[in-house]
Amino acid sequence: MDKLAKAQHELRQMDELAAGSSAFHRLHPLSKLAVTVFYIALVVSFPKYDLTGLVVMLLYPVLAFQLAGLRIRDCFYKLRVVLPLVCAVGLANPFFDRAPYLYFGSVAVSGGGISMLTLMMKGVFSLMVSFLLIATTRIDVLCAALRQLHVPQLITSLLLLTYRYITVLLGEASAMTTAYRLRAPGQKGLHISAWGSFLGQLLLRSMDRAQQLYGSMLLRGYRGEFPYCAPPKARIHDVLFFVCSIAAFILARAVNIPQVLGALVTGG
Amino acid sequence: MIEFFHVSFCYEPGVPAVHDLRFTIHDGESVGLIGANGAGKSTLMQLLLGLLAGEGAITVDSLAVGKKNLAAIRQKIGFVLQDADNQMFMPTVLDDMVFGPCNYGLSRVEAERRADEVLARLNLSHLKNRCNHKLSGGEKRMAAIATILVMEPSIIVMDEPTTALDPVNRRAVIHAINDLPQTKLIASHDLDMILDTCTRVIVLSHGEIAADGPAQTILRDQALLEANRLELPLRLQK
Repeated sequence: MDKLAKAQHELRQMDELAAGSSAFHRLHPLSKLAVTVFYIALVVSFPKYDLTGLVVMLLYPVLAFQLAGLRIRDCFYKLRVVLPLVCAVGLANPFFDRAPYLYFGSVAVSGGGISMLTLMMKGVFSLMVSFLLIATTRIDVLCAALRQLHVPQLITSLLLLTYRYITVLLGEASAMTTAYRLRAPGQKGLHISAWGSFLGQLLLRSMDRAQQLYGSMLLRGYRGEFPYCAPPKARIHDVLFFVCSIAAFILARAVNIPQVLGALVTGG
Repeated sequence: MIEFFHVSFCYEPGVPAVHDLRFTIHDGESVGLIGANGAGKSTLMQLLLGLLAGEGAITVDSLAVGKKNLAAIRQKIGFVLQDADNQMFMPTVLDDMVFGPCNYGLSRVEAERRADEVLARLNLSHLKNRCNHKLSGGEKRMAAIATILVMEPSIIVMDEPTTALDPVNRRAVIHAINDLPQTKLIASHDLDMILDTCTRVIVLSHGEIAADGPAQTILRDQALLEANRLELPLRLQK
């Protein structure tokens, strides 16, 4: 399978994951969305040296992944392109912030080292919960939830159509590269001389295909707004999930739980 | 009823894709639209659906095809595209089926009820929650027909409904078409299928109507078909 076909396959896999029926999948999309946004906001707000406090925040994605029946390694695999970028954000910190922050025996750990780890963890945690949201909530249901939050219809329709048309673009690009490779044996990738015409043709073909899709939508009554799946009514466990999660996050942010536990155990 | 009054259309000035089309399709008729590549079949269908606007007038149940009536006309006409992949753009068969009815104001529950009915009628209930991209070619084609039937159109327009299907799936689609009570306009190069499904045939050539008459007469007229770059249906060939 070439890279483009693989990308297309992965997008479809996300659709399949989102169509699951676990308890987490069945939660109200709005509560999942709100919890995710709140989680990311809180994680980002942790002080740069508060590594121990931040570690506790890992509990939510880990528990939720279990509840949703998702494998964490799938998450890291699918985020493999973004993760290095996220991790690279704090790489310069150890060079700028060299003052020792704590000691492991006689080994000093600089403030820069700690803040680098904190930044990486913030990025990774945020990506994990974003993946969790997308892998447990279908894109149209997510858009319905956004509409409930009064996000303009233009934005939600754009989001939905972009998501749908990515597969169209990938499909066309994949067919074209296959056709190219079959007539250019031994070549690695596209020769630079073919890039211009390849991109031009890709654009034209995608536009044609998109036009057909759009025509099909128009013929079935599309008038600029998707008839989103009406999100289910919020039930008591949706509210409980929302309230408990938010309360737990606030507690984890306000109190350094590992420190408190450590103090209890050591009697300090 | 569909009526074409002197309809013409040009993609490029001076080069008519269809010219002076005049015909009427009565309720319940099943009409085959045949012609060589570039004869104007797709253009004719797009004009009927209001996707293109040309000269002359087209009416569907006395409603003129035009901006004002597009919503009403598209509710009356179900169009099955040649490439089912272009028709099925939602994640699952059910999502695709409820897309149209929900756009026309039906509640999700009512749309799902209709979808269940149509799927059961076509013996496709097992496909209901399947992902579109996991369907075989035949299943996809049948599901595409289902997405149209769920809108309860009074007219069904099909573009090459049997292309790229194996014999069994082709036969299944033909049976499904024959079971539809609606008015049908079917464009195809599969003349055997046209013979099986249509009572009347319109032959297009260079954008004009070369012949219009009973399927059994036209599809047996070798001279007429060959003059229009067509052949006798395989089963009628000696």
